[in-house]
Amino acid sequence: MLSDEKIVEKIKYILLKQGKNVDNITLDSTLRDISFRSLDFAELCLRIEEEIGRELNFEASQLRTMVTVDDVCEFIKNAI
Amino acid sequence: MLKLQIQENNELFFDNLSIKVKDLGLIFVKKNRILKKIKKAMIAFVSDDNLILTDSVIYLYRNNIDGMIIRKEQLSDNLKNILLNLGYSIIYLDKKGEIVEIINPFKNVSGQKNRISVITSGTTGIPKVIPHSWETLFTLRKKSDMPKFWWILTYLPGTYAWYQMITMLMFLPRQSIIMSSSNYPEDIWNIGVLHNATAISSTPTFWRYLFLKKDLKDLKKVSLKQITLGGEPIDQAILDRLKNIFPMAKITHIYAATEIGAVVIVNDGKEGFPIDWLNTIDSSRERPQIKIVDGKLWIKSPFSSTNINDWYCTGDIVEIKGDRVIIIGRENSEFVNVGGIKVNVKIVENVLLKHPYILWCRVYAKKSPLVGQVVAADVVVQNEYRDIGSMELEKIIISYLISQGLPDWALPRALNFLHDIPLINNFKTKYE
Repeated sequence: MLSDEKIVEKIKYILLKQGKNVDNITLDSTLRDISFRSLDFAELCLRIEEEIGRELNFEASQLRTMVTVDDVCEFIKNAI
Repeated sequence: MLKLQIQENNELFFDNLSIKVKDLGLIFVKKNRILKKIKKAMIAFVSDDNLILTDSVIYLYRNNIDGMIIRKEQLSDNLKNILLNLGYSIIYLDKKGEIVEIINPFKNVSGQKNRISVITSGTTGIPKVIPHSWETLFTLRKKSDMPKFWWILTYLPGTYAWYQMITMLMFLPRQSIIMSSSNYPEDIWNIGVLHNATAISSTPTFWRYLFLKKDLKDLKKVSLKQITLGGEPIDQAILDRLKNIFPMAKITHIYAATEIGAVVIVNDGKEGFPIDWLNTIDSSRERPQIKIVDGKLWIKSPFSSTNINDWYCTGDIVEIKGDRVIIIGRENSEFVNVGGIKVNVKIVENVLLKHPYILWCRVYAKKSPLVGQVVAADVVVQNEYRDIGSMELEKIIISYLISQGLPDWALPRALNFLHDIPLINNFKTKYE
């Protein structure tokens, strides 16, 4: 089971590579505020799929409800 | 017909052997008496030995036989059927040059005088037989005043680039060729060192592979005076690096295609070619004419295959950058569809290759949730930077790509660091 900390660590890594500030990212941070966009989310999914060795299982409509980092963590944990 | 004079005193160095051209193309007559009986035939010689294939092709010239040479691994069932339907006799030769098998023996088919054909798979993977004459293959015929060079031959026998080198050995005064029995760049280089090479013709990928295997000290053992590049798009990074390692060498890059020959020859050290070369009219018909139509390169060439005598669409995409025409890649180059936005892999590769840490790269599409595909890249890093961890390297590279203006959707979302460069024939980059 992937923990919230591990998922947040991956989110921070994806943003850090692009030169974005990751110092103040918490579970309550909104995706808009930290500039975490759809392509970043796609990359997050790829990295997790690589780690667990299989594709994530989700419906695209579920993505509309994601607003915060915590939402992303919950989404990923449900999709595993 | 232009009669080409064989330069019998030119030398071929093959591993530790030294053979004069006057002794080439004659091995067969001594070893295979059956060949003396040929009156009319079209012959495809097949072997896996580089020397035997070289000897075979010179035999074809000396006896004015309509033929070709084929590497054994190239002869698929598909190609075999094509050749048999065209009327070729297929002759398998062992490493000693002795005939081990003949398929479709000497059906008394009248071949065409002064025809030598080249096999290419082009972009489709389906083999094509491209007929040339010895004159259309010998694109260096105006270079009879070329200084004496000992050339390292890096190309596989039977390829168009190989014919450029072999016709130079056969017909251009003072040119010697150094050839290895091995097709690995490091082995080819070692033979070049052994025979004091002064020139080389190869692809950029050959050099990138060699940079992994040889350090600067090893490279500088060869005092190169002439470096010729071709077979792939030539980027500024490779030109600059070679100039840095071999400051005394003249560096030339050539745009060529099996169908139209070697047509754009650039010596100014810059990628692409001058925009002034477009749309020039040449009444003598001795120089190629070049134009761009809908972003694609069209050429009318005096070195075209005997089947082509008009403008030919190369299928290569070009773009104008200032006063240069830059060749980007093939018309059917892979695009990555990132959520509906098409990213040309070649453009991403060109930017990646400009980074000093990166020796080689290959960009492709990776299936992704949400957006369908994302850009992925396999990268080989220069030896001196391999101690840097992959996460740190990734940060450095992505940061660089952003600084070069690459948009978000074109950034590689999966970066794989490979240890070696995956190669296909003739040291071109392999695309899956």
